[in-house]
Amino acid sequence: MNWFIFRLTLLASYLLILFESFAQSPHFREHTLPAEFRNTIILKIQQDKNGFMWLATNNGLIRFDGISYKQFVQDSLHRTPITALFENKHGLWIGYEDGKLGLLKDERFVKTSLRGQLPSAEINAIAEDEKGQLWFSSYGEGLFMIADDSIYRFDERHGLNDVFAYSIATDAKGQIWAGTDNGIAICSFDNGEVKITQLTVADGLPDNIVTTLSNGKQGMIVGMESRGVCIIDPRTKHIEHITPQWTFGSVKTIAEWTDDLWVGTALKGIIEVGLNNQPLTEITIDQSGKLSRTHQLMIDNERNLWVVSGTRTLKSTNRTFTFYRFPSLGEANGVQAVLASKNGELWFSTRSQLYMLPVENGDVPTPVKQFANLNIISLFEDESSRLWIGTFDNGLYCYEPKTGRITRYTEQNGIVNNNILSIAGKGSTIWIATLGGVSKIETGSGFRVENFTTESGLGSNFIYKVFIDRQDRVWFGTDGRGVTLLNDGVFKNFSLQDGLKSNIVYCITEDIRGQIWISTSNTGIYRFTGKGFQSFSPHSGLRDLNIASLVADPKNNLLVVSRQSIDVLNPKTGNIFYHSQEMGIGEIDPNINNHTQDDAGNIWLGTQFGLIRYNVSNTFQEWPVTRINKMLVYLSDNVTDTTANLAHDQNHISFDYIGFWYHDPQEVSYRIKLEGYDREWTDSRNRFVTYPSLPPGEYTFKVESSATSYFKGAPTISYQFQIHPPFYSTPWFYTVCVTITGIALFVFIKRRERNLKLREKMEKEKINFQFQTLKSQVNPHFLFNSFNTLIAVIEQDQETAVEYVEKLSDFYRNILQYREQDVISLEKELALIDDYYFLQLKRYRNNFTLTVNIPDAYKHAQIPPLTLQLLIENAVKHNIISKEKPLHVDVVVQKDFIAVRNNLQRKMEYERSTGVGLSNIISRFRLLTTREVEISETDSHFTVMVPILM
Amino acid sequence: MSKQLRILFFLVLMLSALPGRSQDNIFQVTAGTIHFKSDAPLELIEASSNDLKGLINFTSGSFAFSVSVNSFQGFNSSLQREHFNENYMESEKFPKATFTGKIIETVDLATEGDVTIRAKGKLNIHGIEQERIIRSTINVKGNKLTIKSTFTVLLQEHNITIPKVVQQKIAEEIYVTIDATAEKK
Repeated sequence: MNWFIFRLTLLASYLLILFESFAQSPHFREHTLPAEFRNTIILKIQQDKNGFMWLATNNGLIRFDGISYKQFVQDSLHRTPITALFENKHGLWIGYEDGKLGLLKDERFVKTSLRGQLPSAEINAIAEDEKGQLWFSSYGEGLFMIADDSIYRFDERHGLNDVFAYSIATDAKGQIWAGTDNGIAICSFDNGEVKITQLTVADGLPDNIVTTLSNGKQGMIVGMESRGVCIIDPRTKHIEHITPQWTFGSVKTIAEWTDDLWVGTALKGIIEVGLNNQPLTEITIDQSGKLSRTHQLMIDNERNLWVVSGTRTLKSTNRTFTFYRFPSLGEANGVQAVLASKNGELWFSTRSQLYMLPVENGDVPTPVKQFANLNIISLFEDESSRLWIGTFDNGLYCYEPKTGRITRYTEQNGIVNNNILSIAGKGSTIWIATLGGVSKIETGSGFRVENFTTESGLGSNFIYKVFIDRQDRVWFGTDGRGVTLLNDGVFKNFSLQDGLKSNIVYCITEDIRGQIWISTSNTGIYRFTGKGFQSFSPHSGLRDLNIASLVADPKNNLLVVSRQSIDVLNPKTGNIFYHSQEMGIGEIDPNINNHTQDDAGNIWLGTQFGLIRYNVSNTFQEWPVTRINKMLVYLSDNVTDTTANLAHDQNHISFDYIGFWYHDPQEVSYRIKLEGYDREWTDSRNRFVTYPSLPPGEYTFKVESSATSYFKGAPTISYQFQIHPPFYSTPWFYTVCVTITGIALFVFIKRRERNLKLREKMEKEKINFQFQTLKSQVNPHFLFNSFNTLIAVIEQDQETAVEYVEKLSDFYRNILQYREQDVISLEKELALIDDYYFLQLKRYRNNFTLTVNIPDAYKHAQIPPLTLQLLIENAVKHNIISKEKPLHVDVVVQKDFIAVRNNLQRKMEYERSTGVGLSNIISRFRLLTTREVEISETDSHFTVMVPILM
Repeated sequence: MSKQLRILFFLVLMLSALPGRSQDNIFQVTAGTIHFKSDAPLELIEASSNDLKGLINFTSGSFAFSVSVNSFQGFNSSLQREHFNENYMESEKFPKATFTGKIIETVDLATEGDVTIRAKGKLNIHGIEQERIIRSTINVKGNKLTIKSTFTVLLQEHNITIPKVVQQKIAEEIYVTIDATAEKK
């Protein structure tokens, strides 16, 4: 009978272990390829230097940024699965299943001109040695290397252990390690010669099939087919087999995380291997417990771990929280109190039972049988490693795990109340907070209790929390009376008039700088100022004002635990990081002050679903990594990074930017500003912005990203560019225009000035001429001569006399009429001289002849008035006119001139000459034409030629 | 006849047609049983075949094994066997299942007793090749070897698709056991 029970117990505990091996897990975020990649499976992952994730698939490359997926397919290799990825300065190298090698640079596939034979079998890994020579392993065909664009192949003939190579990695010295079916080959290539050193079972390698290699902090991390993991010092070749008890089959991939390795296996999921001899832990990746094949584990720049499992879905997780679920505890899974002991055990209580998670196997909670059917709500470990256990209604227990001794204290033993909500202590003093006041218990020698209630100065007898700070002050969170502080034996109460908005105080904590923080029911968090309390609100607010636990972590963050979230608040910056559903935190609905801190500083929280460990060692990145991917002009990305100089019509500018935050990509928000255009920052959730029709100018595009919608202190990424003004609004163009206008104006003014001067001069000449003409015409000689002639004519022929007077009168009228004009037609001038000739003819009879021979074509030519008349008159005045010596004047056209020519027979004494007549004509013509008046004199003839003005 | 089968045939021929090289330690399977088990939630299916053929060359470390698919007997009904051959394994199209490759460990045939080796090679089932490492125990007794091996086959890996309804009756992972004796040629 007993034997049967023993076997049953054995079976039960075996089942329990089986069951419990699925207990511990981080939360995995799933990233599933969108529907357009229906038949695509992810085979490998690689993060590039910019932060993008590159997914090698059976259907080309896919670039992933946390939210969107973009496919890159090399045409000729469309359907060939990609089996290896590697980034170096040349770009992203792509190894294909059929042995082909591709290269992607700046989102374009680059043609490589390699000499030699590529493998025909799958390229399964690529690495680069210290000289920048690319090595890759090919399954079944040995190792390949590229130096100076030539492909070299190494196999057994070169000393390679085996042609079946699985993996390749570069060690700290830049040598290439290759894992084969027959151990490790350490290779280098110098002066055209390959040097291969073998490391096999004979050298102490636990297994000769080496499936994975990766360079870790402590040396080369080697994954094997059947013996798990060993670490090899690359210098001494010392081999440390860290998994002597390996039962999980072939290792497929290894990622070194904080102080542990995550080992992906072919069939048994992921195993966590501690680097400090911790037990191996199976990681639950799929809650259904299905078999999972891990292709690759990778740690990204944010320290997230990515799991590639040959499906359409990627999984990623981070170290923020680890979840411990205990399905075997059934309905009573809800944890009421939790305590991490100094020696690494974890104690926790459910509604009816105390459990202990031992150090060796952290996954299996053991019920502590002495504490069955007890409603434990508070736990504390004192300096002597005794456990103090507070219950509802059943008082206080002191338990010594080593001896198993239990002492119980109740109201009968003098403690103030049997309902113990919170226990604190320092040295040998223990404080308990109850529903009836507080008790101070001295445990040093014997058991001495001192009780405090409202009568002693305590705000209320209903105390949620007792807390001892580093200055040995004791703080009490009361129900309805705020905070009570006991300092140097004096109680002081803080309530509504001291800055609190609620008098119901749940949590009290002290950060590493000694700042006291409290939280109340429904009014959030407060900071102790020394005199009172000041409400503290993170920039983006609290999601739930009803805070169950407020705990300061060793990195000076405050953990804010509420019904559905565990938020991390940086009190210095006011930034708060929300963690809820998306991080795997469901309706955890924890009891108030249900937390403990272990030796490493990790904070454990008791929840309705087991325990959650907040991992303090997790490096918490405060800001997303912001990057401007592209600047586009008219939505085309032909503009490369270097051409930030744009023409005036390239003014439709777009920016494509991103904040990498794989941790929680949906939470990222941006603010952007185009300096030179925007005055203020613009908040945005878009990752793309367009500025259509920017005016010319210098601009700086700035973008910041944040995961908390709060930007103060966020790093700014900027891109400078300028749009040049069009040529017609450039300064030089303005200068040229102004100069030209100036010159034109100057020329115009000068010319106008000259014209004005000319005109003035002409006016003067004209007036002078008119005066002279008038003077000459009213010359008494002419008049007397005319009158004498008239007298003679009147006597002889009255009719002619009338005509004579008429002509004379005509002549004078014309003179008066024309003198004001600059020019008159030649016809009018001829009519004038006709009159003049008539008058002179009567005087000189046949002794004077005037022959005018001007063709009709010149009738409309222009001439200054009285020019010809004056010239004829000059001839009449200066020459002898007699029967013996008749005067002949010819007016003819000679080329472009009108010539007035007379036979020269000068008078001995001149008629008084005006002297100015001819020179006046010359200067008048100078104002009208460039052609000069020509005067020529021979012995017989005197000729004046005036230009014809057509 | 598929390419792989031809290679296998060639390999078997090569291995058996080298009597001159007496220093080669070639062993031939004289009696071999292969057994599989599908342990689905609703049904346990088992079948076995005595048609296992094989050659091992311990000098070069190479081996070749083969079984004809339609030689499996057992099952829970004849209809099931028919389904096995026609719907899942398509034994008309892919008559043989083969495993060829090399032995990782070196076996000292002079020492009698048990030795565990890993046979690495290409497992061809349903016309789909999978690279596998299969652990086996070899008992050496004079010129006679007893080979025992257990491994699993994932149907999905060999492109054997099972309708959703039937998944409760046929396991995704099939357990295979091999038990063979081989003698030196």
